[in-house]
Amino acid sequence: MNGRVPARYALALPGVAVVTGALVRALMLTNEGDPALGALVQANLAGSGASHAVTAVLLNFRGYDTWLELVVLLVAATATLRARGDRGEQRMREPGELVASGLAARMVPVVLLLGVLLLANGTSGPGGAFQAGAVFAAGALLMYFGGYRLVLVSGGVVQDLLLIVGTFGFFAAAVATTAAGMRTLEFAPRFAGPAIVGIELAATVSIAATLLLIVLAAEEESRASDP
Amino acid sequence: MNGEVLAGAFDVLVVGALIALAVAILFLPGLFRSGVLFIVFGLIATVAWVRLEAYDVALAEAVIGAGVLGLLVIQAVRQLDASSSGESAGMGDVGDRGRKP
Amino acid sequence: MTDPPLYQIAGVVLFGIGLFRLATTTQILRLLLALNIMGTGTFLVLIGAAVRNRTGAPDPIPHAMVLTGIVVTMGVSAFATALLRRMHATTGQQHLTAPFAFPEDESP
Repeated sequence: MNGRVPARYALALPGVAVVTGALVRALMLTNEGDPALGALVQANLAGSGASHAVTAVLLNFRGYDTWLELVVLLVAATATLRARGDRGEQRMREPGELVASGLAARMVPVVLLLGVLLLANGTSGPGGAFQAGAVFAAGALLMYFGGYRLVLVSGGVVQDLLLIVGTFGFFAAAVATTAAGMRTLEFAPRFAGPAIVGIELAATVSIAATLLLIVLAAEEESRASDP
Repeated sequence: MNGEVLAGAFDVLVVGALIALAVAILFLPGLFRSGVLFIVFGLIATVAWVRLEAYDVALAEAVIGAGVLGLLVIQAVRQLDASSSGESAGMGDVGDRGRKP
Repeated sequence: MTDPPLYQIAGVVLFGIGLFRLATTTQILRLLLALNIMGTGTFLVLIGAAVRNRTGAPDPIPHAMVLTGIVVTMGVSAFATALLRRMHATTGQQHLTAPFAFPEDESP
Protein backbone atom coordinates (compact mmCIF):
# COMPACT_ATOMS: atom_id res chain seq x y z
CA MET A 1 0.00 0.00 0.00
CA ASN A 2 1.41 3.34 -0.95
CA GLY A 3 2.52 5.69 1.77
CA ARG A 4 0.00 8.43 1.17
CA VAL A 5 -3.51 7.98 2.47
CA PRO A 6 -5.91 8.54 -0.39
CA ALA A 7 -8.05 11.62 -0.28
CA ARG A 8 -11.33 9.82 0.10
CA TYR A 9 -10.31 8.51 3.52
CA ALA A 10 -9.84 12.03 4.81
CA LEU A 11 -13.09 13.08 3.23
CA ALA A 12 -15.15 10.23 4.62
CA LEU A 13 -13.79 10.23 8.15
CA PRO A 14 -15.40 13.43 9.47
CA GLY A 15 -18.78 12.53 7.98
CA VAL A 16 -18.78 9.04 9.44
CA ALA A 17 -17.50 10.34 12.79
CA VAL A 18 -20.36 12.84 12.93
CA VAL A 19 -22.94 10.19 12.08
CA THR A 20 -21.55 7.79 14.66
CA GLY A 21 -21.42 10.46 17.32
CA ALA A 22 -25.00 11.46 16.59
CA LEU A 23 -26.11 7.84 16.85
CA VAL A 24 -24.38 7.39 20.20
CA ARG A 25 -26.02 10.55 21.45
CA ALA A 26 -29.41 9.34 20.25
CA LEU A 27 -28.75 6.08 22.04
CA MET A 28 -28.08 7.85 25.29
CA LEU A 29 -31.19 9.96 24.89
CA THR A 30 -33.53 7.03 24.36
CA ASN A 31 -32.76 5.71 27.78
CA GLU A 32 -35.79 3.69 28.56
CA GLY A 33 -36.98 0.73 26.59
CA ASP A 34 -40.66 0.13 26.15
CA PRO A 35 -41.65 -2.32 28.85
CA ALA A 36 -45.31 -2.01 27.96
CA LEU A 37 -44.97 -4.03 24.78
CA GLY A 38 -43.01 -6.81 26.43
CA ALA A 39 -45.56 -6.98 29.21
CA LEU A 40 -48.34 -7.16 26.62
CA VAL A 41 -46.68 -10.21 25.06
CA GLN A 42 -46.33 -11.91 28.43
CA ALA A 43 -49.95 -11.21 29.25
CA ASN A 44 -51.23 -12.82 26.05
CA LEU A 45 -48.76 -15.68 26.00
CA ALA A 46 -51.12 -18.23 27.47
CA GLY A 47 -53.53 -18.39 24.56
CA SER A 48 -50.98 -17.92 21.82
CA GLY A 49 -50.14 -21.56 21.13
CA ALA A 50 -46.53 -21.38 22.24
CA SER A 51 -45.02 -21.00 25.66
CA HIS A 52 -41.85 -19.38 24.38
CA ALA A 53 -42.31 -15.67 23.93
CA VAL A 54 -40.13 -15.27 20.84
CA THR A 55 -41.94 -18.09 19.02
CA ALA A 56 -45.31 -16.61 19.95
CA VAL A 57 -44.24 -13.24 18.58
CA LEU A 58 -42.79 -14.71 15.40
CA LEU A 59 -45.59 -17.06 14.49
CA ASN A 60 -48.66 -15.59 16.07
CA PHE A 61 -48.51 -11.96 17.12
CA ARG A 62 -46.26 -10.87 14.25
CA GLY A 63 -46.99 -13.77 11.95
CA TYR A 64 -47.50 -11.54 8.96
CA ASP A 65 -43.91 -10.32 9.20
CA THR A 66 -42.63 -13.89 9.28
CA TRP A 67 -44.77 -14.72 6.30
CA LEU A 68 -43.22 -11.90 4.34
CA GLU A 69 -39.80 -13.00 5.50
CA LEU A 70 -40.46 -16.39 3.95
CA VAL A 71 -41.48 -14.61 0.76
CA VAL A 72 -38.19 -12.71 0.83
CA LEU A 73 -36.35 -16.01 1.15
CA LEU A 74 -38.32 -17.38 -1.77
CA VAL A 75 -37.44 -14.38 -3.90
CA ALA A 76 -33.78 -14.65 -2.87
CA ALA A 77 -33.69 -18.33 -3.78
CA THR A 78 -35.35 -17.74 -7.12
CA ALA A 79 -33.14 -14.79 -7.97
CA THR A 80 -29.97 -16.60 -6.92
CA LEU A 81 -30.88 -19.65 -8.94
CA ARG A 82 -31.58 -17.47 -11.96
CA ALA A 83 -28.33 -15.59 -11.56
CA ARG A 84 -26.42 -18.83 -11.55
CA GLY A 85 -24.27 -19.73 -14.45
CA ASP A 86 -25.48 -21.96 -17.22
CA ARG A 87 -25.92 -25.41 -15.88
CA GLY A 88 -28.78 -27.77 -15.88
CA GLU A 89 -29.09 -30.25 -13.06
CA GLN A 90 -26.93 -31.16 -10.13
CA ARG A 91 -23.59 -32.61 -10.98
CA MET A 92 -22.52 -35.31 -8.62
CA ARG A 93 -19.24 -35.21 -6.83
CA GLU A 94 -16.91 -38.15 -7.15
CA PRO A 95 -18.00 -40.52 -4.41
CA GLY A 96 -14.46 -41.56 -3.67
CA GLU A 97 -13.34 -39.45 -0.76
CA LEU A 98 -13.17 -41.71 2.22
CA VAL A 99 -12.93 -39.16 4.98
CA ALA A 100 -15.70 -36.97 3.67
CA SER A 101 -18.14 -39.79 3.01
CA GLY A 102 -17.35 -41.48 6.31
CA LEU A 103 -17.82 -38.23 8.18
CA ALA A 104 -21.09 -37.64 6.40
CA ALA A 105 -22.36 -41.12 7.13
CA ARG A 106 -21.64 -40.76 10.82
CA MET A 107 -22.54 -37.17 11.43
CA VAL A 108 -25.66 -36.70 9.36
CA PRO A 109 -27.95 -38.74 11.64
CA VAL A 110 -26.77 -36.71 14.61
CA VAL A 111 -27.28 -33.49 12.71
CA LEU A 112 -30.77 -34.52 11.68
CA LEU A 113 -31.58 -35.37 15.27
CA LEU A 114 -30.30 -31.99 16.37
CA GLY A 115 -32.54 -30.30 13.82
CA VAL A 116 -35.58 -32.18 15.01
CA LEU A 117 -34.77 -31.31 18.61
CA LEU A 118 -34.39 -27.64 17.77
CA LEU A 119 -37.70 -27.62 15.93
CA ALA A 120 -39.54 -29.47 18.67
CA ASN A 121 -38.10 -27.26 21.36
CA GLY A 122 -39.12 -24.13 19.51
CA THR A 123 -42.54 -23.81 21.03
CA SER A 124 -41.34 -23.92 24.61
CA GLY A 125 -37.80 -22.65 24.44
CA PRO A 126 -35.12 -21.36 22.11
CA GLY A 127 -35.24 -22.96 18.70
CA GLY A 128 -37.80 -22.92 15.99
CA ALA A 129 -38.13 -23.06 12.25
CA PHE A 130 -35.17 -20.94 11.15
CA GLN A 131 -32.58 -22.57 13.32
CA ALA A 132 -33.84 -26.09 12.60
CA GLY A 133 -34.06 -25.38 8.87
CA ALA A 134 -30.47 -24.17 8.80
CA VAL A 135 -29.31 -27.26 10.69
CA PHE A 136 -31.10 -29.53 8.21
CA ALA A 137 -29.47 -27.64 5.36
CA ALA A 138 -26.10 -28.17 7.03
CA GLY A 139 -26.77 -31.90 7.27
CA ALA A 140 -27.67 -32.05 3.60
CA LEU A 141 -24.48 -30.17 2.74
CA LEU A 142 -22.50 -32.71 4.73
CA MET A 143 -24.03 -35.39 2.56
CA TYR A 144 -23.25 -33.44 -0.58
CA PHE A 145 -19.60 -32.98 0.31
CA GLY A 146 -19.42 -36.63 1.24
CA GLY A 147 -20.34 -37.58 -2.27
CA TYR A 148 -23.93 -38.58 -1.77
CA ARG A 149 -26.53 -37.45 -4.23
CA LEU A 150 -29.25 -35.10 -3.04
CA VAL A 151 -32.27 -36.25 -4.96
CA LEU A 152 -34.79 -33.81 -3.59
CA VAL A 153 -33.03 -30.71 -4.74
CA SER A 154 -32.07 -31.89 -8.19
CA GLY A 155 -34.36 -29.48 -9.89
CA GLY A 156 -37.84 -29.89 -11.20
CA VAL A 157 -41.20 -29.81 -9.52
CA VAL A 158 -40.12 -31.35 -6.22
CA GLN A 159 -37.54 -28.65 -5.68
CA ASP A 160 -40.04 -25.91 -6.45
CA LEU A 161 -42.57 -27.45 -4.11
CA LEU A 162 -40.05 -27.59 -1.29
CA LEU A 163 -39.25 -23.94 -1.77
CA ILE A 164 -42.88 -22.88 -1.79
CA VAL A 165 -44.39 -24.95 1.02
CA GLY A 166 -43.36 -22.54 3.79
CA THR A 167 -45.02 -19.57 2.20
CA PHE A 168 -47.99 -21.71 1.40
CA GLY A 169 -48.34 -22.79 5.02
CA PHE A 170 -48.92 -19.22 6.06
CA PHE A 171 -51.22 -18.70 3.12
CA ALA A 172 -53.33 -21.69 4.13
CA ALA A 173 -53.51 -20.37 7.69
CA ALA A 174 -54.57 -16.97 6.44
CA VAL A 175 -57.29 -18.43 4.24
CA ALA A 176 -58.51 -20.66 7.05
CA THR A 177 -58.73 -17.88 9.60
CA THR A 178 -60.42 -15.50 7.22
CA ALA A 179 -62.90 -18.13 6.08
CA ALA A 180 -63.71 -18.90 9.71
CA GLY A 181 -64.79 -15.33 10.18
CA MET A 182 -61.89 -14.05 12.29
CA ARG A 183 -59.34 -11.51 11.30
CA THR A 184 -56.70 -12.88 8.99
CA LEU A 185 -54.00 -14.84 10.81
CA GLU A 186 -55.73 -14.38 14.12
CA PHE A 187 -55.61 -17.79 15.72
CA ALA A 188 -58.24 -18.91 18.16
CA PRO A 189 -56.48 -20.25 21.28
CA ARG A 190 -57.82 -23.72 20.57
CA PHE A 191 -56.15 -23.93 17.19
CA ALA A 192 -53.13 -21.77 17.83
CA GLY A 193 -50.90 -24.59 19.02
CA PRO A 194 -51.42 -26.94 16.07
CA ALA A 195 -51.39 -24.02 13.63
CA ILE A 196 -48.01 -22.87 14.87
CA VAL A 197 -46.59 -26.38 14.72
CA GLY A 198 -47.87 -26.89 11.18
CA ILE A 199 -46.55 -23.56 9.94
CA GLU A 200 -43.21 -24.20 11.59
CA LEU A 201 -42.91 -27.57 9.89
CA ALA A 202 -43.64 -26.09 6.48
CA ALA A 203 -41.32 -23.16 7.10
CA THR A 204 -38.50 -25.44 8.21
CA VAL A 205 -38.71 -27.42 4.98
CA SER A 206 -38.63 -24.29 2.87
CA ILE A 207 -35.82 -22.69 4.81
CA ALA A 208 -33.71 -25.83 4.57
CA ALA A 209 -34.33 -26.10 0.83
CA THR A 210 -33.59 -22.42 0.27
CA LEU A 211 -30.31 -22.40 2.17
CA LEU A 212 -29.25 -25.65 0.59
CA LEU A 213 -29.94 -24.47 -2.95
CA ILE A 214 -28.21 -21.15 -2.41
CA VAL A 215 -25.02 -22.84 -1.26
CA LEU A 216 -25.21 -25.58 -3.88
CA ALA A 217 -25.61 -23.06 -6.66
CA ALA A 218 -22.33 -21.46 -5.71
CA GLU A 219 -20.64 -24.83 -5.38
CA GLU A 220 -21.76 -25.94 -8.80
CA GLU A 221 -20.57 -22.73 -10.33
CA SER A 222 -17.19 -23.03 -8.65
CA ARG A 223 -16.75 -26.51 -9.95
CA ALA A 224 -17.73 -25.45 -13.40
CA SER A 225 -14.72 -23.13 -13.44
CA ASP A 226 -12.31 -25.54 -11.81
CA PRO A 227 -9.84 -27.27 -14.11
CA MET B 1 -13.17 -12.78 42.64
CA ASN B 2 -16.44 -10.97 42.25
CA GLY B 3 -18.66 -12.57 39.61
CA GLU B 4 -19.96 -9.24 38.45
CA VAL B 5 -16.51 -7.91 37.71
CA LEU B 6 -15.59 -11.07 35.89
CA ALA B 7 -18.71 -10.88 33.75
CA GLY B 8 -18.07 -7.25 32.97
CA ALA B 9 -14.50 -7.97 31.96
CA PHE B 10 -15.71 -10.75 29.69
CA ASP B 11 -18.16 -8.37 28.05
CA VAL B 12 -15.38 -5.90 27.40
CA LEU B 13 -13.36 -8.69 25.82
CA VAL B 14 -16.24 -9.71 23.56
CA VAL B 15 -16.93 -6.15 22.46
CA GLY B 16 -13.25 -5.49 21.89
CA ALA B 17 -12.95 -8.64 19.81
CA LEU B 18 -15.93 -7.65 17.70
CA ILE B 19 -14.54 -4.22 16.94
CA ALA B 20 -11.03 -5.51 16.29
CA LEU B 21 -12.39 -8.19 13.97
CA ALA B 22 -14.50 -5.65 12.10
CA VAL B 23 -11.47 -3.48 11.47
CA ALA B 24 -9.43 -6.50 10.41
CA ILE B 25 -12.14 -7.76 8.08
CA LEU B 26 -12.60 -4.47 6.34
CA PHE B 27 -9.14 -3.01 6.26
CA LEU B 28 -6.63 -5.81 6.04
CA PRO B 29 -5.64 -6.89 2.55
CA GLY B 30 -6.56 -10.35 1.39
CA LEU B 31 -10.13 -11.33 0.68
CA PHE B 32 -9.72 -14.89 1.88
CA ARG B 33 -8.47 -13.61 5.21
CA SER B 34 -11.49 -11.33 5.41
CA GLY B 35 -13.78 -14.25 4.71
CA VAL B 36 -12.30 -16.44 7.43
CA LEU B 37 -12.30 -13.57 9.91
CA PHE B 38 -15.92 -12.95 9.01
CA ILE B 39 -16.79 -16.45 10.17
CA VAL B 40 -14.94 -15.80 13.42
CA PHE B 41 -16.85 -12.54 13.72
CA GLY B 42 -20.10 -14.42 13.44
CA LEU B 43 -19.07 -16.82 16.18
CA ILE B 44 -18.07 -14.02 18.55
CA ALA B 45 -21.38 -12.33 17.77
CA THR B 46 -23.06 -15.58 18.85
CA VAL B 47 -21.30 -15.26 22.19
CA ALA B 48 -22.51 -11.66 22.43
CA TRP B 49 -26.09 -12.76 21.85
CA VAL B 50 -25.79 -15.36 24.58
CA ARG B 51 -24.47 -12.71 26.95
CA LEU B 52 -27.49 -10.57 26.10
CA GLU B 53 -29.86 -13.49 26.81
CA ALA B 54 -31.03 -13.68 23.20
CA TYR B 55 -30.76 -17.44 22.79
CA ASP B 56 -32.85 -17.80 19.65
CA VAL B 57 -30.81 -15.09 17.98
CA ALA B 58 -27.62 -16.83 19.11
CA LEU B 59 -28.70 -20.09 17.49
CA ALA B 60 -29.63 -18.32 14.27
CA GLU B 61 -26.42 -16.32 14.19
CA ALA B 62 -24.34 -19.45 14.67
CA VAL B 63 -25.90 -21.39 11.81
CA ILE B 64 -26.87 -18.61 9.44
CA GLY B 65 -24.64 -15.68 10.29
CA ALA B 66 -21.43 -17.59 10.76
CA GLY B 67 -22.22 -20.73 8.80
CA VAL B 68 -24.13 -19.95 5.66
CA LEU B 69 -22.90 -16.38 5.21
CA GLY B 70 -19.31 -17.39 5.82
CA LEU B 71 -19.68 -20.20 3.33
CA LEU B 72 -21.07 -17.79 0.73
CA VAL B 73 -18.17 -15.40 1.18
CA ILE B 74 -15.58 -18.17 0.95
CA GLN B 75 -17.26 -19.50 -2.17
CA ALA B 76 -17.20 -16.08 -3.75
CA VAL B 77 -13.53 -15.61 -2.84
CA ARG B 78 -12.69 -18.98 -4.32
CA GLN B 79 -14.37 -18.16 -7.57
CA LEU B 80 -12.86 -14.71 -7.77
CA ASP B 81 -9.49 -16.23 -7.21
CA ALA B 82 -9.90 -19.05 -9.69
CA SER B 83 -10.90 -16.96 -12.65
CA SER B 84 -8.76 -13.90 -12.12
CA SER B 85 -5.57 -13.42 -14.05
CA GLY B 86 -2.75 -15.19 -12.30
CA GLU B 87 -1.17 -12.42 -10.33
CA SER B 88 -2.22 -13.93 -7.03
CA ALA B 89 -0.02 -16.54 -5.45
CA GLY B 90 -2.94 -18.32 -3.83
CA MET B 91 -5.76 -17.60 -1.50
CA GLY B 92 -3.87 -15.17 0.62
CA ASP B 93 -3.46 -12.61 -2.08
CA VAL B 94 -6.83 -12.65 -3.71
CA GLY B 95 -8.00 -9.68 -5.62
CA ASP B 96 -6.71 -6.89 -3.44
CA ARG B 97 -3.84 -5.58 -5.39
CA GLY B 98 -4.99 -2.37 -6.86
CA ARG B 99 -5.43 -1.83 -10.52
CA LYS B 100 -2.32 0.07 -11.11
CA PRO B 101 -2.18 1.87 -14.41
CA MET C 1 -25.97 -9.12 34.51
CA THR C 2 -24.62 -7.67 31.33
CA ASP C 3 -24.33 -4.02 30.66
CA PRO C 4 -26.53 -3.36 27.63
CA PRO C 5 -25.23 0.12 26.82
CA LEU C 6 -21.77 -1.36 26.33
CA TYR C 7 -23.06 -3.63 23.61
CA GLN C 8 -25.22 -0.93 22.13
CA ILE C 9 -22.36 1.51 21.81
CA ALA C 10 -20.28 -1.29 20.33
CA GLY C 11 -23.08 -1.77 17.82
CA VAL C 12 -22.96 1.88 16.83
CA VAL C 13 -19.17 1.71 16.52
CA LEU C 14 -19.47 -1.32 14.25
CA PHE C 15 -22.01 0.60 12.22
CA GLY C 16 -19.63 3.50 11.89
CA ILE C 17 -16.70 1.28 10.89
CA GLY C 18 -18.78 -0.41 8.24
CA LEU C 19 -20.11 2.91 7.00
CA PHE C 20 -16.59 4.26 6.66
CA ARG C 21 -15.54 1.26 4.64
CA LEU C 22 -18.67 1.57 2.57
CA ALA C 23 -17.62 5.05 1.57
CA THR C 24 -13.98 4.27 0.85
CA THR C 25 -13.87 1.07 -1.18
CA THR C 26 -15.08 -0.03 -4.54
CA GLN C 27 -14.42 -3.72 -4.09
CA ILE C 28 -17.80 -5.35 -4.14
CA LEU C 29 -17.06 -8.20 -1.76
CA ARG C 30 -15.76 -5.76 0.81
CA LEU C 31 -18.86 -3.65 0.35
CA LEU C 32 -20.95 -6.70 1.14
CA LEU C 33 -18.90 -7.46 4.25
CA ALA C 34 -19.20 -3.84 5.34
CA LEU C 35 -22.97 -3.97 4.96
CA ASN C 36 -23.13 -7.18 6.96
CA ILE C 37 -21.07 -5.69 9.76
CA MET C 38 -23.30 -2.62 9.79
CA GLY C 39 -26.24 -4.98 10.10
CA THR C 40 -24.69 -6.83 13.01
CA GLY C 41 -24.07 -3.48 14.70
CA THR C 42 -27.72 -2.60 14.30
CA PHE C 43 -28.73 -5.94 15.76
CA LEU C 44 -26.51 -5.29 18.77
CA VAL C 45 -28.36 -2.03 19.41
CA LEU C 46 -31.72 -3.76 19.11
CA ILE C 47 -30.89 -6.72 21.36
CA GLY C 48 -29.33 -4.38 23.87
CA ALA C 49 -32.58 -2.46 23.96
CA ALA C 50 -34.39 -5.71 24.73
CA VAL C 51 -32.64 -6.13 28.06
CA ARG C 52 -32.47 -2.50 29.07
CA ASN C 53 -34.70 -1.29 31.89
CA ARG C 54 -36.64 -4.46 31.95
CA THR C 55 -38.45 -6.49 34.55
CA GLY C 56 -38.07 -10.25 34.27
CA ALA C 57 -37.51 -11.84 30.88
CA PRO C 58 -36.03 -9.85 28.02
CA ASP C 59 -38.38 -8.18 25.60
CA PRO C 60 -39.06 -10.75 22.87
CA ILE C 61 -40.02 -8.34 20.11
CA PRO C 62 -36.50 -7.11 19.26
CA HIS C 63 -35.45 -10.77 19.29
CA ALA C 64 -38.03 -11.53 16.62
CA MET C 65 -36.99 -8.51 14.58
CA VAL C 66 -33.32 -9.44 14.70
CA LEU C 67 -34.10 -13.04 13.81
CA THR C 68 -35.94 -11.81 10.74
CA GLY C 69 -33.10 -9.41 10.04
CA ILE C 70 -30.47 -12.13 10.10
CA VAL C 71 -32.42 -14.29 7.68
CA VAL C 72 -33.17 -11.44 5.28
CA THR C 73 -29.53 -10.30 5.39
CA MET C 74 -28.50 -13.79 4.43
CA GLY C 75 -30.92 -13.87 1.54
CA VAL C 76 -29.71 -10.53 0.22
CA SER C 77 -26.07 -11.53 0.63
CA ALA C 78 -26.71 -14.76 -1.22
CA PHE C 79 -28.15 -12.89 -4.18
CA ALA C 80 -25.35 -10.33 -4.02
CA THR C 81 -22.64 -12.98 -4.13
CA ALA C 82 -24.42 -14.73 -6.99
CA LEU C 83 -24.47 -11.47 -8.93
CA LEU C 84 -20.84 -10.81 -8.08
CA ARG C 85 -19.85 -14.24 -9.35
CA ARG C 86 -21.75 -13.73 -12.58
CA MET C 87 -20.25 -10.31 -13.01
CA HIS C 88 -16.77 -11.63 -12.50
CA ALA C 89 -17.32 -14.58 -14.78
CA THR C 90 -18.72 -12.41 -17.53
CA THR C 91 -16.62 -9.26 -17.37
CA GLY C 92 -13.72 -10.07 -15.11
CA GLN C 93 -14.59 -7.11 -12.90
CA GLN C 94 -14.94 -7.26 -9.17
CA HIS C 95 -14.96 -3.55 -8.50
CA LEU C 96 -17.54 -0.91 -8.93
CA THR C 97 -17.03 0.89 -12.19
CA ALA C 98 -17.71 4.48 -13.17
CA PRO C 99 -19.58 6.53 -12.06
CA PHE C 100 -18.96 4.92 -8.67
CA ALA C 101 -15.27 4.31 -9.11
CA PHE C 102 -12.84 6.63 -7.44
CA PRO C 103 -10.73 8.76 -9.76
CA GLU C 104 -7.45 7.95 -8.05
CA ASP C 105 -6.01 4.48 -8.12
CA GLU C 106 -7.33 1.68 -5.95
CA SER C 107 -6.16 0.82 -2.47
CA PRO C 108 -7.53 -1.90 -0.24
